[in-house]
Amino acid sequence: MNIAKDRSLTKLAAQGDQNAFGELVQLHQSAVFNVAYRMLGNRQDAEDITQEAFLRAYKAFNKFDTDRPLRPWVKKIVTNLCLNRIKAHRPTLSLENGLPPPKERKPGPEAQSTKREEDRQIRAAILSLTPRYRAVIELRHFQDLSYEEIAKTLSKPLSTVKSDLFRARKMLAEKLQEIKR
Amino acid sequence: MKHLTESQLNEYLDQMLDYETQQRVETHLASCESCRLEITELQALFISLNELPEIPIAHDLTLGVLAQISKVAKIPLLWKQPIFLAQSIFTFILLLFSMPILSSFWLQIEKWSGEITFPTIQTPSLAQMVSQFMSLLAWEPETFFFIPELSFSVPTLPTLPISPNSNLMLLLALSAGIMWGIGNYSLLRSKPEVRE
Repeated sequence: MNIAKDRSLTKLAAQGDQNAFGELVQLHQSAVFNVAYRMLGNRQDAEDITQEAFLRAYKAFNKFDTDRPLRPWVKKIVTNLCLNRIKAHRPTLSLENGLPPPKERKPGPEAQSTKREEDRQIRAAILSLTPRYRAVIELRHFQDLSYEEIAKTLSKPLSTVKSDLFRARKMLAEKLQEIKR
Repeated sequence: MKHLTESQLNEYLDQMLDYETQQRVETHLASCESCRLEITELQALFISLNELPEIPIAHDLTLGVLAQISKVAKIPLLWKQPIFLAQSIFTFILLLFSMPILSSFWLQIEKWSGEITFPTIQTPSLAQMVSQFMSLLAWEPETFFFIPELSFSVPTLPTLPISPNSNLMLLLALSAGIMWGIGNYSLLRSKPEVRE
């Protein structure tokens, strides 16, 4: 990602340039969608909420420091939107079969299929966590936020975030052990 | 032996410990199989999460987002809104026209205020109060209450230079009402949307 281009597009979009914002959506939609997909486990819901996140970002541009990168900010927005949606709907876990194969890595077909199945199981394990645990895993492992930033994003005390993170990791590690057995 | 705490495990894995603590943790790990096993399991999890690939998005959301954005019409600044500008101009004109009426009314009010006499209250003297208190003790109901004497004169109220029943008055009241309504509508409409 070209940081300078991202910043200049962000500045233009903040001034109301819709074309610039369109380019930003194109640049970041995949990353934002993946956050939503890990949190919700459903492609359609993830796309809807990604769209919603970009809309929220556009409306809240006056609050955003355009010198900062846009992606982490929209990712935080989408994480909170996902948490709100989970709280409102409490959906059953859903990880669709037949996900398109990942773009990276190209081992042999058999290894690829095993890896894909393992990835699917890891995603399912993440989705089996309660929303609060899922959120800390998402923010720490996939968005690389510090404990303090997670606490601020989720409006929770630092001590709660640390203990949630530890428990979430323990649970996931146990599930991972089961998957690999 | 005391095992590593949740916090130490977390911060060790996230490489957030200071050098000294990290050394202590590593020394402990070298001798404690239980903690070592726990760390190994968690490290395996870290690797799995790091290796989890991003999945490609099936549809480009750009057009959808842009379509939604165009629906969110940007509300111009308050003073740039024609309705607000019209209201301000009309109010100013109304104020100019009402100046002669207001000034004549003001003269009447000044005259009227000179005529006002404030109520005077006749308060009882100390001797009267003592006497009343004694009567109270003696239970003589007829002298129980002392009602202060009030006296004031009603001044002549100022009259409006225009009759309250006239068409002009009705027109003025209507205009003021309409402008008030438009003003409130304009202000409510300009209220920013609730952000996330």
